[in-house]
Amino acid sequence: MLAEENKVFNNLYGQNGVTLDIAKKLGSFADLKGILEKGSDFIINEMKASNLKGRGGAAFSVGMKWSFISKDDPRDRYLVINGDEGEPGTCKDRELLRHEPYKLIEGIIIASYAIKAKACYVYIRGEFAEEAKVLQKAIDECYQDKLLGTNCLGLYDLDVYIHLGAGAYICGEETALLESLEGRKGFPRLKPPFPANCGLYSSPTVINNVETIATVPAILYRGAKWYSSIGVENSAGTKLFCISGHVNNPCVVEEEMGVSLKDMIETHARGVIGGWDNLLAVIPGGASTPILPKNFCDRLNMDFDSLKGAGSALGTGAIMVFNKNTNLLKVIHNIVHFYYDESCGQCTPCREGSGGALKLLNKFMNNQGTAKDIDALDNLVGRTLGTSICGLNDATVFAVKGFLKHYKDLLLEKSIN
Amino acid sequence: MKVNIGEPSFSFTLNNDKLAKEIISKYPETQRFSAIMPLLTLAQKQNGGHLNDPIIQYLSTYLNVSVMSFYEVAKFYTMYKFKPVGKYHISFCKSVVCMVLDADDLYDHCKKITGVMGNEVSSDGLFSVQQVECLGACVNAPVMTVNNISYENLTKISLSKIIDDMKKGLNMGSMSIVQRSAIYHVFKQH
Ligand code: FES
Repeated sequence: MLAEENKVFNNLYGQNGVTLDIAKKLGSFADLKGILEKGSDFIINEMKASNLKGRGGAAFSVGMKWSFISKDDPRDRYLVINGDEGEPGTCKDRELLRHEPYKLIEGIIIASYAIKAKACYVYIRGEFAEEAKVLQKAIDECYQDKLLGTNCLGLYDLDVYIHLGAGAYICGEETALLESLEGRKGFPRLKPPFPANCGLYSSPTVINNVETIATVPAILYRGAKWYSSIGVENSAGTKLFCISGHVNNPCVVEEEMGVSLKDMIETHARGVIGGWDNLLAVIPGGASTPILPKNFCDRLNMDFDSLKGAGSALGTGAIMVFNKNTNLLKVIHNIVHFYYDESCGQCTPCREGSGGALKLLNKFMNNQGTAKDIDALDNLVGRTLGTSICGLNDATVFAVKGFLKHYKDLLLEKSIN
Repeated sequence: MKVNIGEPSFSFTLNNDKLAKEIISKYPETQRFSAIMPLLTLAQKQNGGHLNDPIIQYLSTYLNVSVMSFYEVAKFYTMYKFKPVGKYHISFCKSVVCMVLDADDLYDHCKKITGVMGNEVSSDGLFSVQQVECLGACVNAPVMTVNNISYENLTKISLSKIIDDMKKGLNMGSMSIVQRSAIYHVFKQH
């Protein structure tokens, strides 16, 4: 498990207080100038070498993403931070916004410098009004301290603005987020063009998750070598995990990639309610990642490859624990209902498919499902995979497929013929 | 678009007018649309929690952006309301983690003690209650927000106390997260 000295987030719970002075004492902005003076190429190469992958769920190489911004494009460039956290089970960015805003800001400065962004917009879901206030206070302090604004450290100009959402899960999808930031409905855009070429206001744009950017300063202070030495092959570094549901101490915790799921639940979350043998199933990475029955969880490691091998995914690192008191039919019904509610309605397979899946599951909830309905559900999700502009529909598909893979019997038992 | 007769006209207070101008200045001059959402949010807040046609008219003129552009946005995002809400507008999370921790029971309990029927505002004007999707606070489930302030690790007892305090007129919105936790939440150890 992760050694104390390797933690990126040393104030994750706000245990030391949340002010710029305290953050500085804890190491923030210690040598920001020194890092920036090494130059944009150095920073981007270091990020590539660190093997940090985006922490918002899509897991794309961060250094690569930054390197896609063309060096001699005359247009303005933007950095956009995705703080539209809303995938059920996920609540890590909220902790960072509340307690580690200075690491986010320092990461924003470094990333903006690397891609020569003229401004950064932090998109925060509207329900996080309090968190946005904490971040705004931190931003104000940084302006006063000349870390933001014009001619900072003699090296850069940068403005950072918060843009609050207003209740739409889809805006966590990066192009929907851009639409929203531009004052429109959150309809995802067709790609290409990709944001690196045509993002916010049709300008070159990098969009990264809150956790991703807040990790950047640690990597540059301590080196890509240090960061990539933590974790396992293909899954470098540390990650915030949110352990929720039927555990004795639900929590957000930083761990190394590849950590054992069981160890983490036993140690940080103080065990499953009713003991490990009372475990029924785990959804390991947010609502869209396929559910895993207990026998998979006994020896499961939390990294990209291990979870893929088990037929699921790391997603956002949101581990939802269900003990034997759980009605899993209600769980999958709830999840499909979520995606049905949150579909933006732009693509037919997603809008109608989630509704169709929900209707079929409703039948089982009302004890009116049949064996034929199970086939229909299977067929429906089998056909709609990859047919929509963004990944929301696929999220529904993965969730349902995972359920059918392990718990078809639950539906069969409930069928009336 | 025609304005319904009977709906009072709207204009920003002096302070909000200042805030609105600040908001607009955050975005490039050619990108006025970006201010649509924050202006709607600001106006809704000034108007006690909901929007109406005169507000949209006003904002459209204020920002010099078509009425339709405002409606499109206002009708897409769930936090914009076109019906009055209570002085305390309560949003209960109904997503999966909260659900398995019995949020439905708490929601029913909440409706009972606030006297809210269906989607209406309680007869004393104090409360409205709705269910929403994941509030992004799942390790603190069950969760609700009241006027966008979150209350976490809810139990029937803490919920009853929160509602009681609101009925007594306590201004909990001004409390810090830490203060609120100390009073209403089982403080979590890590
Ligand atoms: S499921 Fe209720 S806050 Fe996430």
